Amino acid sequence: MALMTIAEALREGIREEMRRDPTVFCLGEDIGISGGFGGAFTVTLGLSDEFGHDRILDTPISEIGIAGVAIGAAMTGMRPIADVQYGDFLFCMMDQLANQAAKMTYMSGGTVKVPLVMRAPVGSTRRGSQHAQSLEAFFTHIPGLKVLAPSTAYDAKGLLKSAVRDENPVLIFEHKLLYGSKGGRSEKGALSPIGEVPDEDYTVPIGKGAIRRAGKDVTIVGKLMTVYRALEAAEILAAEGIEAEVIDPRTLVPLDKELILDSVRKTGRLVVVEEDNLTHGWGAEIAAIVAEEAFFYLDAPIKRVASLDTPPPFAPPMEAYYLPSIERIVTAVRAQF
Amino acid sequence: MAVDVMVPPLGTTVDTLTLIAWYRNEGDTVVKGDPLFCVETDKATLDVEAPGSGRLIRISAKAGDVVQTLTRIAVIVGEGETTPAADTKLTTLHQPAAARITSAVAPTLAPKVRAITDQSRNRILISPRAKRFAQDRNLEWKTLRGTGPEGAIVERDVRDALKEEPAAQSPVTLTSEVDATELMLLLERINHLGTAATIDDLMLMILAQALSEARGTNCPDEAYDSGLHIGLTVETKEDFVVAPVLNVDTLSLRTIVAETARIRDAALIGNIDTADVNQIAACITNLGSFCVDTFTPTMPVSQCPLIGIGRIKRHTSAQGDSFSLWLSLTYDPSKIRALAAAKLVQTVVTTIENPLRALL
Amino acid sequence: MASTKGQSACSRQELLAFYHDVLLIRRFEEQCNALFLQGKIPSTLHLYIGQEAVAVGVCAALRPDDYVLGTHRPHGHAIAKGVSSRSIMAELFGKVTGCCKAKGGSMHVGDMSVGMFPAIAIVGANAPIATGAALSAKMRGSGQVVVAFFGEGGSNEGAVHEAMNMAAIWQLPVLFVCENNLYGASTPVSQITAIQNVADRAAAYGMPGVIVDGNDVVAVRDAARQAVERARAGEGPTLIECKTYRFCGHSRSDACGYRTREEEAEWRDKDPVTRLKLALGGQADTSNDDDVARVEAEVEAILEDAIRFADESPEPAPEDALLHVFWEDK
Repeated sequence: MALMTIAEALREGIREEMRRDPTVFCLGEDIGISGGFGGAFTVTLGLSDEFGHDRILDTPISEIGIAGVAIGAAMTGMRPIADVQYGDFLFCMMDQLANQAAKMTYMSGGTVKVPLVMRAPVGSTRRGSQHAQSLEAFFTHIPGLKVLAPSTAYDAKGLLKSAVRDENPVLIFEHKLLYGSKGGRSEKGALSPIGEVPDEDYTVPIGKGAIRRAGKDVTIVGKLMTVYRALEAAEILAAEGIEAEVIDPRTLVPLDKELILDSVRKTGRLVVVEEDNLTHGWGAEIAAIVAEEAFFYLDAPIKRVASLDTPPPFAPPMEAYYLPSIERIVTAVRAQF
Repeated sequence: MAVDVMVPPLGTTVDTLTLIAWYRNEGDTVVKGDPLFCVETDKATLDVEAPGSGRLIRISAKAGDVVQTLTRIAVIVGEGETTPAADTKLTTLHQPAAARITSAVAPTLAPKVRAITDQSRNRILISPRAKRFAQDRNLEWKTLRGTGPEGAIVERDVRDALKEEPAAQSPVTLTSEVDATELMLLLERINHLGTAATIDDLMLMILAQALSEARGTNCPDEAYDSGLHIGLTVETKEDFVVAPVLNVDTLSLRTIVAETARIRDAALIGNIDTADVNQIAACITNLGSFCVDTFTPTMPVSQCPLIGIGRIKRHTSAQGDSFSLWLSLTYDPSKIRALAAAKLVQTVVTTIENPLRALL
Repeated sequence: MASTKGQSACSRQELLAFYHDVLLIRRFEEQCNALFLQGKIPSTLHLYIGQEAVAVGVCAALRPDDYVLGTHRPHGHAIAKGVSSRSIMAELFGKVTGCCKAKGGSMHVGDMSVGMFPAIAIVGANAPIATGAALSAKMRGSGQVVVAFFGEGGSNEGAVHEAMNMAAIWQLPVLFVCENNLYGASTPVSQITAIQNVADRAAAYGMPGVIVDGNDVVAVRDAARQAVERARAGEGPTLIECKTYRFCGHSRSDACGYRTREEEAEWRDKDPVTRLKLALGGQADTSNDDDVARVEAEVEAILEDAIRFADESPEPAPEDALLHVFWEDK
């Protein structure tokens, strides 16, 4: 058992999988250059020392190419882990993800598999509009992609290992403020949740959520950073006599619906918190599922707390206003009582 | 069928509204759906439709008054109808003929306004969870007051109601055959002095005395807040009605006699004011003149003890005539403790048998 | 950049084999057209008629375990790579016995067991995937070569550019085969590309670019063979531009109003089927040669069998639509 940041946990997960399986390799921009960063957030730092530059493969700045190469390799016996420098760049490779990776198994009648992993950092961190968006919702809307969102070091490693061993394209979203990246790549305002990570091989199953805090009065569902915002809000609410249950689905696709539904059946109230912008979003989907499947257990209208329907702004006061703050979560919960 | 005109529950967290204006006057004929009056919340002013057709009577709130939601502020009676058969206690067990709001003018675009619009669709807001919970327990939820978001009835409101109302229990009736000889003697003597008192007048006095002695045990304390009022069942052309006799404990017998006479006359011409009937601490129903010996009174409201008086019988013997009557007391065991009810019977019976006690 | 002609010695057996494959594609496509008109094929069709020598010539240079990535016009690629006519036809009919179990249709035919990727109908999108498969072959040391077919239209997709650059920097065993049939759906190549030859772009990536007569199956085979040898030797990718012509419209709904009948006739004179038949000593419009007649009979028998097979195969259950969104272990 070791204490690790999420960046370290991911790195160890990659290392273990690459040692275990020679078909696993990493590709991406600036991930293995000696003297470089190990990716924008240090996840692959030092791995090229152990595995060489053929398996920690630095690519041109070619997002379509990165995705396509990962798909082609995955369809022919390899298990690539592609590093997307910033989640926003996923839009550059949208065709490869949405039309190719996601549809290949289906349109081949189940005769072809695409076991690739793609890791993408999200979260607004004073980088303005194009290196900041939380865009999980786009990808949860694509049938054929699995979408993960680990928020702890334990889950980051365990889910990464599950993703590498999965036979489908798996997209892992990671939050910049949760990595705990060190040195020049450390982030202002980062939470750096350091967690215990077992040394032995373990996986976290894809499709199983976690209850981060038990409560009986209201269910708050968050992902990535908003899990932590929800937990802080829960503390404030507890002082007011409201016991919030905080759920971290960990896996967005497939979703542990029953965990959420069971909680809402208990509490009768649901607040969904996400850093994606509000409209037509992931929170709306969670709300719809609960409205459809647990309607008669609801004691108050479902509330969503999300980023504004704007691109991420740059200036800190505007960015803070844009993001789903603890205060906004608390307000949403109070409005349910 | 008389229809109560209620102050609508507007789904806001406040439970009082300001009455802005009546669009119709006392005695006007109104048609169901006509704008009847206008109220103002902190968010909006809105018109309330007439809940029924007929003649608008007994307007009890005027423009500018702050009125409680779910209280009655007027009655609409049908053609030929004079007063409603019974009145209502509005916090529980009463299902108002819900008023319909026809228009909402929102000064601000606050979300609450939407709740009001929902009310305009004649909906009582209740959460799905609360509704399911209430239905599972056979609780009539439409009368509950919501404390949840947008004033909706939520689970805790249903739970509270279930706590308040231990499963509706049947009323209990206690009966006693009472020696009324002394009472009749007293009545004869008083009337000899030039009054026209009835048994009911004496019973009002006796009951007021008994209730004063038992204060706090027979009905909710707040029943006394505005004075000790006792309901008296009187005849109208078609039926009985309960009219309140106010502050009975402060009245002389002569005044009581005058007041009951006035009430009876008023009832017969359909001009009776029952506005305070919710405030009564007990009610007397005397069916003796209808040759009824014993019965179980049920009118008009369940929160107070109901005294029933049967026919007075004369018993002739060598020692002289004696009189007796059957007295009954009906009460709701969820509202009044059995011992308190029994003690009230005891006090009343003792006082009837020795009416001078009433003068103490 | 080099331009090649079919100069290498070619045995009669080889020519007969080419004739078989080229004719099979031609007749397959003609039958598809007829079956479409009969309502047997529920989708539109992008027919490969006129370009048969490209697929057949390239695939003749490949091993069975090499990979081919087709386009939205993939029937020829699939047949040339060895996907059975039965399973392609059944796929076009929308039958469960189709090579993609009726999930793919005309634009996605493929069969990985013979090295044919499910065809990729997003123009140019197959190029980076081919690069990835080539990277995989190199990392696994399998000696496999990968071919990405695309048109002159596809050559302007950014994906193709990224794919060629990456294949070149990593010296991957991949052939980028541009089938320049002179038109996008309707737009002539001269309007969308400033250079004369797509193959000229190879220089920008640091790989050889080759121009070949795409209607000459032997020339195509020779060019591919050279590129395959380079690839297997670890010398990296090659861009081969095959100059060819689409005899029919872009899709079933295209009457070709954007090109002249003269141009079409000019290219009809270079019909790859006729050229092969003549090379075999036959005449253009009769089967006066025993071997040619035998091949032609074989082709007709294959097609007759494929059509009957497709016709008689069951349709999928509607709820099969729910299967295979994710990989399902058998």
